[in-house]
Amino acid sequence: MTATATTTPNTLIARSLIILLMIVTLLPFLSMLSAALAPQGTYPNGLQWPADPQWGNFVRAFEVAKMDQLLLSSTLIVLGVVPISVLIATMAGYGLAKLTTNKYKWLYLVFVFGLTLPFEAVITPLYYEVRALGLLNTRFAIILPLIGLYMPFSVYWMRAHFLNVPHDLTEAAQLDGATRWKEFWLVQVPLARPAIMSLTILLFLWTWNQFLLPVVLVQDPMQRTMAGALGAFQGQWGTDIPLLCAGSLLILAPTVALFLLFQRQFVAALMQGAVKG
Amino acid sequence: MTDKTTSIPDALPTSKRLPPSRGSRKTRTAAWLFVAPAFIAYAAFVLAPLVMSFYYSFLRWDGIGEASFHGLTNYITVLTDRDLLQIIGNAFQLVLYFTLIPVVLGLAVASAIRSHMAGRFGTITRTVLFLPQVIPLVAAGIAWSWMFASTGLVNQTLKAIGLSSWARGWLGDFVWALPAVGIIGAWVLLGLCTMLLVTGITKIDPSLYEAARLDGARPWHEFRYITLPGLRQEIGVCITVTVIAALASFDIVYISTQGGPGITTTVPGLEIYRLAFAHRQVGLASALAIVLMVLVLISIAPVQWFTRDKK
Amino acid sequence: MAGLTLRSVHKAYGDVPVIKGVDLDIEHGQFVVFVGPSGCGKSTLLRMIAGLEDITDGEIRIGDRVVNEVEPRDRGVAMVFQSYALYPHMSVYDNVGFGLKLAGTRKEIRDAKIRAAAKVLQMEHLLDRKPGQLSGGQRQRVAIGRAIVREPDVFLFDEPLSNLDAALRGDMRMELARLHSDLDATMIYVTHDQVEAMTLADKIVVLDGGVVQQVGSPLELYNKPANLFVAGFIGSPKMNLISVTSQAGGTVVSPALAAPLPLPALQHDLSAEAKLTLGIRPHDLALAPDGPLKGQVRLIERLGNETIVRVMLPGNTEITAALPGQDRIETGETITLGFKAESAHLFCEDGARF
Ligand SMILES: Nc1ncnc2c1ncn2[C@@H]1O[C@H](COP(=O)(O)OP(=O)(O)OP(=O)(O)O)[C@@H](O)[C@H]1O
Ligand SMILES: [Mg+2]
Repeated sequence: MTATATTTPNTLIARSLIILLMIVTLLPFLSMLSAALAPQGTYPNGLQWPADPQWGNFVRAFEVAKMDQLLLSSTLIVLGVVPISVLIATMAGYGLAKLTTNKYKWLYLVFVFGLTLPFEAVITPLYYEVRALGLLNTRFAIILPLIGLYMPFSVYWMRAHFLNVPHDLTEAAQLDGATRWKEFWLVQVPLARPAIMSLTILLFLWTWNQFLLPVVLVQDPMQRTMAGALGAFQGQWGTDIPLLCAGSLLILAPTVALFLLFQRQFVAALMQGAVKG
Repeated sequence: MTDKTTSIPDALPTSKRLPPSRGSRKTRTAAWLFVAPAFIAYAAFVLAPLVMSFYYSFLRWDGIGEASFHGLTNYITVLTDRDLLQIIGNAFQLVLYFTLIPVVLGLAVASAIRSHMAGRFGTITRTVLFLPQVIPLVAAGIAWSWMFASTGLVNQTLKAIGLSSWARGWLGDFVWALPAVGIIGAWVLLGLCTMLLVTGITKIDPSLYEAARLDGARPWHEFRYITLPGLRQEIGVCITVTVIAALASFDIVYISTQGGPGITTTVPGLEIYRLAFAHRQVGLASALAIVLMVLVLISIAPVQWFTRDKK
Repeated sequence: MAGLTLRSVHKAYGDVPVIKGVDLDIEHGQFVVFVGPSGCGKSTLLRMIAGLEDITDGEIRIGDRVVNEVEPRDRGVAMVFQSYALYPHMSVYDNVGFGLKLAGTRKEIRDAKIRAAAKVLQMEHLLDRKPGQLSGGQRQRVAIGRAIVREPDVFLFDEPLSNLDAALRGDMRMELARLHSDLDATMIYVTHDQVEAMTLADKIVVLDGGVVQQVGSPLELYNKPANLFVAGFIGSPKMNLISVTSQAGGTVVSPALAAPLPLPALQHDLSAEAKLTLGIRPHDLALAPDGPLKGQVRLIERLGNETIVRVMLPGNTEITAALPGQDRIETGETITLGFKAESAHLFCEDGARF
């Protein structure tokens, strides 16, 4: 707490406002938790600590939702999407920032054009494309399109980073005898670590939470992402409020846990991600 | 597509003096090799579908049988059909909630605090306010469906403060469903905008405020003439992010209301999905998709233009 | 043995010519300095030699090999950048050894070479640090070390000392001179500091506007500047330049001169009434009661070892004189200056030496 932030009335107002915002932010979670602990089959009240908390509801939701399989499926999808996306976006960012002249700005603009594109705008043809590839209802139906859809942001992000790396380093590496490929791996990638880290976090979150693609392209909830599976879960158990709330909390737990662990990195990534995206 | 509409700020002034040693043929080959994988992925799963979307939008096609050329009919339908117009209108109404609430509240907090949130309090604040950004939108939808349910927390609170007559099933109400969906979006985006604005305001030189006070400025003047201009870029970012979120708000709507009651909360994203996969009107869905894309672009362009000319 | 030859080398960025035909022969082991005002193309020329910049036209040869199309790494050159360009994520040891590693040099050999270079540069104690933990001078050493271990035929330096403070610059200058004599390698050095140029160079190349103005040893340039540009550029304080008109009989006249001035250089010239420029170095001027330059003292800078005075001559011509440090001169005083006739330089109207 800084010295200026302790006494003035303004700060007090701000503090109260922030605390109010925090309460508003947390209430839905608390409300879900209280409902998740209510006895099975009852219709609980908004926020009311149950007399007899049914922690067993979580166990039941875990089994009903087949959480173990879901975790596996989501992890497989993330592993399929994130490393490749980060790799090829880093390469392209380097290529665009360091190897091209102004003449090729159009190429960059083509990438940037996709930045504001809502996924909904391409979901219909994607469905037919994925079907033609014979990938419908497999995890690749989510993995491959996502890699492409992430390219505008990822390339934009990495290019912005590489523009900031002094060009002298590239030249020094060339004189030291590095090929472009070696320079990329031995000089540029180690220096890009922070940018790569942030990008990885963002892509991880977006993939894990991806909903539209799984809903449209994959029927079997067990092949979907966590978020996509949550849709199916709601469709099936939507009337059993305690179970639904317990399931939802379980499904959002992994990202929240990771977030709490890497709070600083996540916040930095999300803020920069917003500014640049 | 011009530079202005497409590019989110270029973040860095590209150096006047271009890095040299780039003209050679070898460098050019290397450039292509480095860019190719990303470009292929992008072309295959964004550009190609986009072109197809454009192509479908001139067809009458059920996705299975023969397609027939339909001219501009689909576009005319999108722009004249009362239901579709209402759906587009819904999206813009959502912009009000998604954008206005976070930006106004964020500004209030930022201008009141006007200093860095350091220490424990800052960390806790950041952690809590970013939670909605971390969870899937679907989870936010489910949480708030429960909040807005007839026995949910919102009604419970209203009853507790003696406003029982206001209690209702919010998401099933023809008048209140759309604002309720708007509140969900506002909740998701509130923390992000607040933190962006709070961070932005710490970058304004504090001596500006002192100078203004010496010049006899009242708090309102300080806000109007220092805070607001100083935060222009951050506000631009908030508006951009929130407007896109509002216009492409498939997840929340799908989970919380399925577009109902009636079509009062249907948004273009959801309608595209329905038209294409439930009603098998692929052509019309594609026309709506193209219109949606254009709408996003023209909504963002002025914001970008406004926050850019600073240099 | 690797000398360096440039033949009619041109460079243009788009339509803008930057290097307009440079011919140069550099012998093995020479220390060559490129000087010239900012933007004259020194760095560009150096970078063309390094291979970092395409050659628009002409030919560059290192040894007997035309290197126009050779990759930088295969040219046998090493470069020290103004910004040092050290890899921030590598230790000093790895920075210095990076080139060897890429070349696939065996580990023991690499280690020996790195340590030898570190010893030469007295930075053995720094090997484990990262560049971020070094001072400017230390970084400079690392950058030089990186160049040394590769044992290049040609060392290239682009204003390597310009980021250092004056004292350190002096030290590093001497060190570079020592290094040059130790290594017996060809060195090309870009600077716009003429003290560096004069003290380090075997041969100075003066560039202006992408054209070589003069090539020669430091003293040649000082004593016999080929044109007005070189005359004004080399020497500090700058050479005084006075517009004069020649007269029959081997004298020149000017409003600035108290009387027509006989110049031996003019004896052979018959054409009268030519517009010329008379150049006199401040250090060639001395107080002389019957000298040709008489004017009022405007400004005095006492440096102790010498006193720099600015004198306003008639006809609104201001000149600078470097006088012995203990001369008692006051501002506003009228003084008379003279010089030896053979120390005068004459330039034609087109700027070339007369
Ligand atoms: N990549 C480029 N594109 C266009 N013009 C360039 C480029 N690089 C250099 N120039 C121009 O070429 C000319 C020579 O530049 P150069 O860097 O060689 O000058 P210099 O002599 O090294 O100057 P300084 O002493 O300031 O370093 C300058 O006029 C510069 O503006
Ligand atoms: Mg230069």
